[in-house]
Amino acid sequence: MSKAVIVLVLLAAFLAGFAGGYLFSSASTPSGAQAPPTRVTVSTTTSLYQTHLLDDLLADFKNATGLSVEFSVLAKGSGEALRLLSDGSACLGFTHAPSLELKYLLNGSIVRLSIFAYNEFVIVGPKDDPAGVSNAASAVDAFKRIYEAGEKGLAKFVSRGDNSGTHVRELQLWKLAGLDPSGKAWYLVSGQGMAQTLLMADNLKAYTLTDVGTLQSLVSQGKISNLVVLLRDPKLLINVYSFYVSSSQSCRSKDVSNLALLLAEYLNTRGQQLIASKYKDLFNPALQNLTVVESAWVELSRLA
Amino acid sequence: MESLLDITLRSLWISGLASLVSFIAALALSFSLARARESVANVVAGFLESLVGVPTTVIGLLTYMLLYPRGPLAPLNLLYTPWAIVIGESLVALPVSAVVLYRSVRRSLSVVSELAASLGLTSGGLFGIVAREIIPDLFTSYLVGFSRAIGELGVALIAGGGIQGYTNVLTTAIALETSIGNYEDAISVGLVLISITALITLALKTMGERIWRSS
Repeated sequence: MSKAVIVLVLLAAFLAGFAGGYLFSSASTPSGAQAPPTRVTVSTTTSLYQTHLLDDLLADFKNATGLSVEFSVLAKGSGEALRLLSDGSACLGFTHAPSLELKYLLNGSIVRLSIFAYNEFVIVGPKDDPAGVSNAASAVDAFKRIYEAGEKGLAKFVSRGDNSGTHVRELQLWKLAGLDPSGKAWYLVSGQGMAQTLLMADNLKAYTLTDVGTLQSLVSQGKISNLVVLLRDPKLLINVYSFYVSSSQSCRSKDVSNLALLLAEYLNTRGQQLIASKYKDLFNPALQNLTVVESAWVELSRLA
Repeated sequence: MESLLDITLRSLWISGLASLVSFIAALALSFSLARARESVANVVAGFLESLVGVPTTVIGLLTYMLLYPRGPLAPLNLLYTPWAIVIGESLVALPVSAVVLYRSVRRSLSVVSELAASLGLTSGGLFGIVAREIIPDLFTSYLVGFSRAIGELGVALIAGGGIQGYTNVLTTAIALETSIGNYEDAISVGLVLISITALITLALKTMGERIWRSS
């Protein structure tokens, strides 16, 4: 029996060592010395996370206001990000899927505080462009061409398939084209994030729909070898980023609502300048074009 | 990406603690099962075996549903904290730890119990003998639980959230780096994960053998 006890004690000591090491390492950082800051969970679409725009905005917000708040950032697709908001698992959210956002707005589980940025989606594909997408008159026309080429066995299309903002837009475009590619051999559903889907499309020389932010960050890392931007369509492919607060019970504390309002105010003022100065190739500040961007949001939200 | 050392230490204490919790539960479970009627014990053991392969994503969702603001454990405020991962990972590690331990306890008990009866030992003394007999298996039971816990992604991602500087562990770092197309960093974190699991397994196994031989 005593040996068994020794074994257990050794195990416990072993683990305590790890735990102690971890606690020590976190206690030695300067932030551990002050009073623990409040922690607020933020769900965001991956494109804002990957381009570091969100990190920059949140850090600048903390600088500007001097608030001691710690943001727990969850990088998810817009579908999951909105679900977490309506659950109250995250109190603040940054998403880009108007038609999904509208559903949650209508059932009262989220409140929009700001439309703060926009950019565009683009259709990318192999350089030789077997479907002739670069000659298309619109995004809908481009999708029709991809469908036809796919049926002839000349082209492939990779879909996110993850209910993200980009995926939702892609489905809207298929619907506008009056086509249903699901189940086709040339229509590949990755079920993964934008970067993985782009790399997949790059390897397979397939077409896909992407936001420019993620595309740019992969291109600048030299990871894209076959894909080029084939079509822009400012009307149908505008990509609108909005900021939401959850109206769930768990997010109704005064602290959270104050923080949400302060953050919204920041996004509409100093945040706009940060987007315009530091991210001018990737995002556009929304305030200067608010009527256009807002009406685009409304139009997109109605496309089921 | 935050420092690899921070992520690794965080992974070690979270998964180490989770597998310790499940090891203690497995210990209690397997000894009480070994004393239960054989027909009952077989059913429970079979059930545990079937749970070994449950996808960790399912357990992650279950943990989320327990802890999220409308869940039964919401007042604890544990969602997206390291403790949420500890809870979920101990559920992940429990079946495999218990299955390994139960088999060994049962085997050892069947060998020792007649001898113990003839010596007139109490049940406490009997379990002391059994525990000493199966020291290497105690280590194995802890280790299989540990490697399942440290290598799982579902719980860490869904209930932990992979938050930088707070709940980001080795597996969520791999998933996050992969999801933003940073395969190089993802693979280096993966190599750390593999070497740590291998090192700890080797070290603890050797320790177990030594203690067993010297007893």
